[in-house]
Amino acid sequence: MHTLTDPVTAASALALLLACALLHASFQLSASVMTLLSGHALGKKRSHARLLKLCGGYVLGNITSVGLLLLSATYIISALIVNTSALLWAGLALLGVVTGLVVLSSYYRNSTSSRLWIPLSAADYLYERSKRTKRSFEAFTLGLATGITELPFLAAPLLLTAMILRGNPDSTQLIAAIFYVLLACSPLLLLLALLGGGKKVSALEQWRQNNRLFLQIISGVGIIVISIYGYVTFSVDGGAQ
Amino acid sequence: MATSVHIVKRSGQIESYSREKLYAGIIAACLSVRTPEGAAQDTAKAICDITEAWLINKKEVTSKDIRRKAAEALVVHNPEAAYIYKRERNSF
Repeated sequence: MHTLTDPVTAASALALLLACALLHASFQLSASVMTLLSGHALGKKRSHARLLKLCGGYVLGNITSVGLLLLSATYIISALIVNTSALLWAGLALLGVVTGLVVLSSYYRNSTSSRLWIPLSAADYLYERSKRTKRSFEAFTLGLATGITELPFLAAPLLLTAMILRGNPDSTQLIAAIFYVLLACSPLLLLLALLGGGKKVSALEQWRQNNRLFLQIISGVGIIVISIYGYVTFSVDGGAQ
Repeated sequence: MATSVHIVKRSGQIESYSREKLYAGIIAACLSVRTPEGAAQDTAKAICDITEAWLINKKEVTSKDIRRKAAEALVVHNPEAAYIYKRERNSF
């Protein structure tokens, strides 16, 4: 049974895919690193064209990272799992619920700041790299690194999406994966457009700070909801797909 | 004199106060919010003067203290740059 091309399950599968992509987009690390990168570039008096090249390289790196992670997960799941079972969906749902609860309780290091709960060594590495990035390729690798650093929080939406993609024709998988990646990275694309239009970094940072609690709740609750939805929708008949 | 003040960094390393470093940091914060270069230089000079006045008769301060003091002074001259300057190390 092909979830995306089967008329019975297509709507549910597409809804889950959309929800996973939007939740992925709600996470903050990649946007934070990009605003820091652009702030440093402007602070070092780089030209507008150089700023856009660096940010463009970063966005491309992040898109590549998300795409590779999703397609790898899909390939591994397709290779290892012949028939899905209710147990597998239950395991994914549990992962999602735990991730959601962790996001709700610990996504920010403390309640007054927007400092994210990622390993301090990773935070220091990303901070130092964004300060020292001068070339587009360095920005590209920074984008790759950022995509991977947030994986503990993104594993649930990525795995749920991989389960949706699994079993579909290759062309459907590719189109769906591109859709997911572009939607998940849409905040970066929006930031790139705003920076290109001359928007100030401080305005973007202030918006993130003002809305951090809202985004945290949306992300945490959202992951819990989609995990349970995925389990109920795709495993209720025994999960044979 | 302010140049004889010791700065204790986050890593525990100790170094002497450097006006050039503080000046460069303030300039970078101002430029990152698209402040014209001339205005950024004037602001940086003013902040350095205010911070050095605060450092008189102090032997040792932390880099966090310097950043806090400079940010307090900067918020009067350029609130947007002060916001970026205060948050830089805690961006994520």
